[in-house]
Amino acid sequence: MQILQELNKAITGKKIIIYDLGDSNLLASLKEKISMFTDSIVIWSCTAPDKMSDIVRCISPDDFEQINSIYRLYEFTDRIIYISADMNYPSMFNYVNTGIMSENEMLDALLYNL
Amino acid sequence: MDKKHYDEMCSSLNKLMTDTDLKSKEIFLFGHCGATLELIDLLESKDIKAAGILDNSDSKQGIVYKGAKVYFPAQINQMAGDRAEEDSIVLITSRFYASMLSQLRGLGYTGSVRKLINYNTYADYSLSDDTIKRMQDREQHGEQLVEAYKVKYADSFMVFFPFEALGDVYYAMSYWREYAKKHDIKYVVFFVCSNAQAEVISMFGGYAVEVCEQKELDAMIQAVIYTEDKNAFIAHQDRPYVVNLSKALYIKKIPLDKIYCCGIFGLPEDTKPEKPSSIIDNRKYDMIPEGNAVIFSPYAKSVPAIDPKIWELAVSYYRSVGKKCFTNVVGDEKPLTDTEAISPAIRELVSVVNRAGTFVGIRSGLCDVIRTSTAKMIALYPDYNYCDTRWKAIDMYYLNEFKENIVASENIQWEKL
Repeated sequence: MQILQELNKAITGKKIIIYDLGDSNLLASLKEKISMFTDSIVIWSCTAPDKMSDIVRCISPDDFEQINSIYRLYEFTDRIIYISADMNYPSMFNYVNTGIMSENEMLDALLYNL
Repeated sequence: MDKKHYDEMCSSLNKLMTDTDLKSKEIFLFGHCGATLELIDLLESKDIKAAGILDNSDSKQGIVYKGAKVYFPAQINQMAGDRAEEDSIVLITSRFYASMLSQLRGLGYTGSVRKLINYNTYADYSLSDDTIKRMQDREQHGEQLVEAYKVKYADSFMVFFPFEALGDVYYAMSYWREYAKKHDIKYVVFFVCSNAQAEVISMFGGYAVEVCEQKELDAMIQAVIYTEDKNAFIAHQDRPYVVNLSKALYIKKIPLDKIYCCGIFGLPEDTKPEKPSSIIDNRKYDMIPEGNAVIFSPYAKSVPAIDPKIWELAVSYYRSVGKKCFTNVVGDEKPLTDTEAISPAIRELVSVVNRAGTFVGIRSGLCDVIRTSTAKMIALYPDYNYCDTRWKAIDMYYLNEFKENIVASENIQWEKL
């Protein structure tokens, strides 16, 4: 449960994006936007190609699964944003895939007012 | 707000008033929404005035309702003063209670914050062992319920509608068949929390439907999220917390129809919505003079009310031109003055409205249900924003099938519609 304590502490300072996709291009775009507009968001991921940076924290798959599991259990904060491709509920990727919005607009929407 | 939640709000307020002298406090309400406005009405009926409404939305700043002005939450400490703990209180009727409480405490507000309606069983902003245990128990209860339904409906895909709204179900059913085709789903069971929603589903065919208590429905939805059940789907745009579709509206206006077609079901934008096929034409409504009556629908569960004066003016006009006037009512709702009460079943509504010839209603899910009617239909919109976006309700909910979509006001010239 160490990682949950760290998460709990981290969200008092910054908002956290939990990035649960293998798409490194999208992650790069997300990093770029965050670095341009805000210093109040960090990304936690277990698939990030670079180990650590000011914006991305690479965490182990086991720790990632613990966070994933608690997120699926209940809404414990409004200070994390989860980016994944779950199939049993809708996500904004559907808008991108159907041409309603661009990937860039989707990222803007996800980061809006953070 | 539906009656169950309204009763819960009344009961919570009465209970609060037994241990707190509300008249001696500065009362702030968090979230400028229909439920908050109803709470202001309720407080007024008890001779209590709200000092202000807190809302994070730029577009709502400065709006005033019955003397209560909208402010940013960050202004609360300044307004509540040094004795906030003793002299002020924040009342919340929103499903975002946990988030609002967290924001207020983050701002350093020390006064009392009370939830009057428990809308959201998914949220508890804590990672304490007790909270996690309670949520695990809830999830396990949900899993047990899901398993029982899997036995009852072997080989069926499960679709959950998390929120009691007719319009949401109507839109979802309009695209269900295409979604099922795309994913090769042969059998399905829908889970809803009201009989009216089940009726809407029945308009689209003989599907299996289970009507559940909201808490049980929430527990099952949490369970399918937790177990990542690939044989289940949650068909909603912003509930529960894992669904982020509504954030797209901060950037772009997307009409509700496209939210369902593209956002929820991931179908191509040009997918044709299915029209309901199972509509009952019931002859018992022959008291409605054919083509010479008006069906009014002034009540809605999740939409701010329209000023009664506007309904009075509408009824007065239609009576003056010889129309017989009816009010569609459910439960203990009262018909408008000088109209007769009528309570057709959901599947009868289209034929009843067709027979009357004219329909005038607040824009609610019921307007979706009658979209295929050939009558002259007028939708009235309270002047409010969709959720916390900059889009007006009329932009999001506009109905092409209706002759008129109008923001409600006393200046409507009924004779010109």
